[in-house]
Amino acid sequence: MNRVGNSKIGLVVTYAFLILMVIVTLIPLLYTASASFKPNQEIVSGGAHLIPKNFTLANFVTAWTMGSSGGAGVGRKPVTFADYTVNSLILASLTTLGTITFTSLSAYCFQRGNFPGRKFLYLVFLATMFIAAGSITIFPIVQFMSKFKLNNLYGASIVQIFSTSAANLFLTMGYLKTISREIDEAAKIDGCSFFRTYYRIILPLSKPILATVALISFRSAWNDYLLPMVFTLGKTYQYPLVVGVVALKNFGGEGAAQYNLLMAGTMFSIVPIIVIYLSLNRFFIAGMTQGALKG
Amino acid sequence: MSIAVRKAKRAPWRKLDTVQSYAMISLSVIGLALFVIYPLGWTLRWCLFRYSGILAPRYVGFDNFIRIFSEGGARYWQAVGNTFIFAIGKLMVEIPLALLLAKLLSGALKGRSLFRSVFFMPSMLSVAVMGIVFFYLFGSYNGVVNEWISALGGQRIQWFGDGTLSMIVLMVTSVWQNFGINMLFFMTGLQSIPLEMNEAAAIDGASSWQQFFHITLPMLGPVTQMVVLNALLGSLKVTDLVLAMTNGAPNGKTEMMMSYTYKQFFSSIQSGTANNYGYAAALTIITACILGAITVIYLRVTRKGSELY
Repeated sequence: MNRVGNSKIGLVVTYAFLILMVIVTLIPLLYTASASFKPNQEIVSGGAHLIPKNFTLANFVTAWTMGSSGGAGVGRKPVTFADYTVNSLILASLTTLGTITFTSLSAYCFQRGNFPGRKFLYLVFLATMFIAAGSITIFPIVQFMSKFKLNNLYGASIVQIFSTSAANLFLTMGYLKTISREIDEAAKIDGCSFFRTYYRIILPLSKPILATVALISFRSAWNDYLLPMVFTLGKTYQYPLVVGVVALKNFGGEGAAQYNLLMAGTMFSIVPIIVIYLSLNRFFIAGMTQGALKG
Repeated sequence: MSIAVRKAKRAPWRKLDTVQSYAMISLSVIGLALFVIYPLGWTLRWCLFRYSGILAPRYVGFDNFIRIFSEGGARYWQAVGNTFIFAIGKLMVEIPLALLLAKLLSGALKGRSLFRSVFFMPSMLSVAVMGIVFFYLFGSYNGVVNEWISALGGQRIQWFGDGTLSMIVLMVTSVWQNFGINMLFFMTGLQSIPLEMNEAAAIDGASSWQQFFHITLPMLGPVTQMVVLNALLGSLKVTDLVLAMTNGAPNGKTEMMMSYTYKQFFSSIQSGTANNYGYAAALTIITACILGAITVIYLRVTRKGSELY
């Protein structure tokens, strides 16, 4: 029912506008990719050409093996973008595993459970998830975690897991609602306990929604900046990619920045997400809209 | 959002099940208590203290709040003002753009799912990293945008030397990153409007623009209310983008409410000077109150608006 596109002229205008928007959307990414293949001299001397004049892979090699000049820690090997990438993988994987485990458990308890205090606990969950103020309550959290020597990458992951958004919980609960209760009733009659019913019946059946929650939480953990930055403050070797890229920019400033390394590092950080998104965008789109709309 | 409270008909709920449920949910409850409730309690307690982390904390009553509302808080209120300029400015572009694209893509247009995937892609990427990419694109000497401007015969612009221009770059970046997800929300909303209404109006001779303004927009009311609130709160909470791109420069003109509050907590680690965590805690409370008040006012105002239809 595209009214604007009813006439031929309307259709042409519509497509022209959409294509213009596609260009606007892609240009920043194309220039990033282009700059990451240019020698620093070519970037610094300017020019709006997309195709590099002196195509080179050296930026990636340098970023991956030698690190940035700001990266060397005392008594350590220079920290490279290879380290940052490993750290990002550790952070995002741990957070994803933890998030799906705890989201699935709480969603099942709230959706199927019948224990005293369930409603009250659910309200507490909702209320706290909504008032979670994010970046401005990081300080007490990191102060508290440092008492347990957890002011590091792993501590950041723990905080990411438990300060997960209410959207994941809604999404999973909504899905559990669609699984017929007769299935778990039958299991119970056969003698399954509450946990056994979860482990044997509900968990395997909720795999599709947990895959979506996994995608969403992997993406947000991978992209997160402030929390991992604060938790790895002063520990360059624990930086995830996003923190490493921003640190490199702040180190260089606008004038003498190593733009080539900056852009190569940016590519390390955004290309995996773009690849995952392009291959699985159906799940992302469904997951992000449903969870947020119910919230 | 209500949970179906249906008692098990045949299989009884046993004590063992209760024990198991508590065990299953206990870690999440502990996590919530430690990482959401504890920081709130901490903030409420220390906002009444002078607390540097070095000297012994001293109870000062509401002194920290008085400081916020006197001259000492000028920088904070400047940041609050910047935050609102940023949020309102970018939403005036972002929301209509998202709605227009949603409308265009909600028909049987060829390639619509490809367009949808492309427009949503920026929302998938790291805010901080894209802040750096746009910092590069708008760079003074080697930035692509300045290259275009000079190719068209214009003067190169020092984007990050001026408060207003820096703010515009921040807005552009944020719109670029968020129009896609709002477009998706609007598309979901458009799907729920029955086609018959538009068809009936078309038979009565309503043009497509009339249909859009008199049927689609009012019917989209609740969705729009949610989308705008979501986008408004998200924009007011902007932190990563500012920290990565301008870090408040020049001279605090792009400092935002959240980034300013964050810096009050962490500046000592970066600069070596003593902090007053009590003052930062008071700022946190004021910031949370501003966000809460905006939510309540927004919901009031929009409810009145939606009663008109």
